Amino acid sequence: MRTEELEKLSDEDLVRGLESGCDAAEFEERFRILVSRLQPKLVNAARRFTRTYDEAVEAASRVWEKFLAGFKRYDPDRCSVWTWLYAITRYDCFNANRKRAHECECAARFAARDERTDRRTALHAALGRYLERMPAHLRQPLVLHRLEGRSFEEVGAVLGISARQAEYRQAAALAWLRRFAPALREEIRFQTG
Amino acid sequence: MGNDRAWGPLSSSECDFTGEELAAFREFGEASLRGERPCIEAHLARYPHLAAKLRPLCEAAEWFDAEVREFRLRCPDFSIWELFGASPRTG
Repeated sequence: MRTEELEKLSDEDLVRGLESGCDAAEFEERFRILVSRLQPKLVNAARRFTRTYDEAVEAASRVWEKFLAGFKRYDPDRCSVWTWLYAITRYDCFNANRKRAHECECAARFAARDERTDRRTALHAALGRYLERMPAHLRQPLVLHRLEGRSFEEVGAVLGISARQAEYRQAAALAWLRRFAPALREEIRFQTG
Repeated sequence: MGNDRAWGPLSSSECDFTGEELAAFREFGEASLRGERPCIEAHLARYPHLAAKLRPLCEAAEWFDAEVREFRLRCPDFSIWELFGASPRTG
């Protein structure tokens, strides 16, 4: 069929022709006419479900790809071509938005994890280095009492010493740590920002 | 990181605590551990004769607890054992 004749056909008849197995040139012409007729409406429809005009144009492109992949399943007796395309647009935009939200969520999660890793590394590099060099008999009560929150009785039981001795060693550990407090404070601030 | 002398053992004047000094520090240390952030000067004013010995302990406890508390807020899944790579019980 010639272009002038094709121009007079309804959308549904254009698609019927695609389904009936026309030659490549006519197929291309029918599709071109459909796109020229429906693309502005399609972009406007997609604009309702997207944030920007560019996203709407991208969505319209995806809809036409889906149209080409699935036009043989289209049934003109059930709905118009435009209704069918609108349904595809709505589902496509919904899925794209969901995918984008998921990607943003993942990116935020990764960023938070990276930040946590940085801060953990910073503390390990600073505080951990000092604690590692603290004499073990002082470090053990300090960690068990001040970091694990155990009572001196429990600390003493764990280490096999009296509660009084555990308390004494914890105080000595703090006295030892105080020597480095100013330098360590600066180091942690510097590394964790 | 300080010089080698600073890493050495504590002198007797630094760690020779009496029972009274430990008891006076315990109140401050436990309040600081609970996150109450007690005032050092107010605490020392209650024990003026022990102030010289208590001050460094109170300052160290306040600083240490604040650093650990802040870090725990930032990293809620933080395990303290990561500071050492091994349990302190094994030394």
